[in-house]
Amino acid sequence: MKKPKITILDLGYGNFKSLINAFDYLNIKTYVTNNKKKISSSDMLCLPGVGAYKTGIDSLKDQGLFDVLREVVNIKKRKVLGICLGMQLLCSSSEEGNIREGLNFLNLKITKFKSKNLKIPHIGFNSVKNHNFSLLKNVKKNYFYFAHSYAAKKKPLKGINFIECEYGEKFIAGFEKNNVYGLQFHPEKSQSNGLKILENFYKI
Amino acid sequence: MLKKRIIFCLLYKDGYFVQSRNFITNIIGDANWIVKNYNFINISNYIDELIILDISLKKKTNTFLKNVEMIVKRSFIPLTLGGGIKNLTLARAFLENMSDKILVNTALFENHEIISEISNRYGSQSIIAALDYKYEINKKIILKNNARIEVNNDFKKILKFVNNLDVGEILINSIDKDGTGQGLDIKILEKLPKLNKPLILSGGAGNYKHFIDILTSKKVSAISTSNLLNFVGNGLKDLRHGLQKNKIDLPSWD
Repeated sequence: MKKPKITILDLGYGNFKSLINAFDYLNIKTYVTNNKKKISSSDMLCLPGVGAYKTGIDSLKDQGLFDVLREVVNIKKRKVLGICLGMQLLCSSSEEGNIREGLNFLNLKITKFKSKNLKIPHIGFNSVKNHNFSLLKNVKKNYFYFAHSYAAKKKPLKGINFIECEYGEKFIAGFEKNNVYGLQFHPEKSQSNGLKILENFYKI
Repeated sequence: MLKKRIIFCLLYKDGYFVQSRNFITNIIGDANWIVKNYNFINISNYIDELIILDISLKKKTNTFLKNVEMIVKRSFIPLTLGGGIKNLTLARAFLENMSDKILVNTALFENHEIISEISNRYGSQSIIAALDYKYEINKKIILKNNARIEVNNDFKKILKFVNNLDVGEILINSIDKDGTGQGLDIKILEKLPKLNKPLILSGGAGNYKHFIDILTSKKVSAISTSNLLNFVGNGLKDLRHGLQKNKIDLPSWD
């Protein structure tokens, strides 16, 4: 059988080189595209993302990728991993730019960090809790690189596995719901621990 | 808890990596020298982030990026690139070539519209606003254009202005302390306006003792050092272990 590839979604910002570099190091083949057919027939998907929520959603919509992604994830049940803004796009809505329509694979709302005296963005390595998280299997250290100003604060519904982090308040650092995985931090920038997470996603 | 950060900064000039002292540079070696003397697969165990700045007078972006790639190919830590970013084209070239963040200096004063352009596209977390300052009689001044031109405004006003821009972090570098290895400018912390963005302090770090007082301050998120000579060999490893022994909250990778 052919070794499965990871399709990296190109939202038009070209910021996926580090991710490709990390998968290369792990001997995992990647394919970058915004082509609907290629996405529709992909083995598994990775949705990186930077920038504003609206920019990400607009880019998905303008390229007609909204429905394709729903089909691949909901009907074909392919695995998808959203990283940073990519994770947020998998959720239902964001306070950033008051965007109501996310991809909505999970009913989670993204809101801004609110506590006073907190330096925003939340930048640097921070630790996460819950080691039953499948992506954290055999990961030696529990701190990862974050760089964001918005996050999901409310716990998801029962049955959805998630990891928590704290910065002024608790927030969701990662979730897994069936074939949908999201990470608020950057595994590709979190040294060997992050690489292990990417490998786990591939092998699960 | 959010950890403190040690950032290692490399200065690139016309094909070589250089050591700066009070902004006068000396060639140390090329990318091969860096790779050999600073084993980057190993060294990323002892630093949290890497900054590489192109301070060549005549920029050759592709050559610079090739040098960057030689160094970071096998290290999976956050990378910031900078040097001469005045428009979106160079910002894009950096951010689309493995760089997570860019460092902006002169453009903060001459073309700060690009800050919001970059921020809309890549997010404010992708921009470090960097300020070079020095002490004159009775006052502190901020300089731009690789510390060649004075910015005509009050020190605090400039910091407030930068704090309100759509940037992710603020780095302040002491020109007087730059490359001396004699200690960071701790006094400056009391003279800053309230900043609501992470602050990186730079200039003068020589050994782990210099880091302790600064990193125990709530005002500072990270220290950047570009002293290639002080931290060669086991320098960065000893620095990290020294700080951890003194209860500075840094991630340990090894």
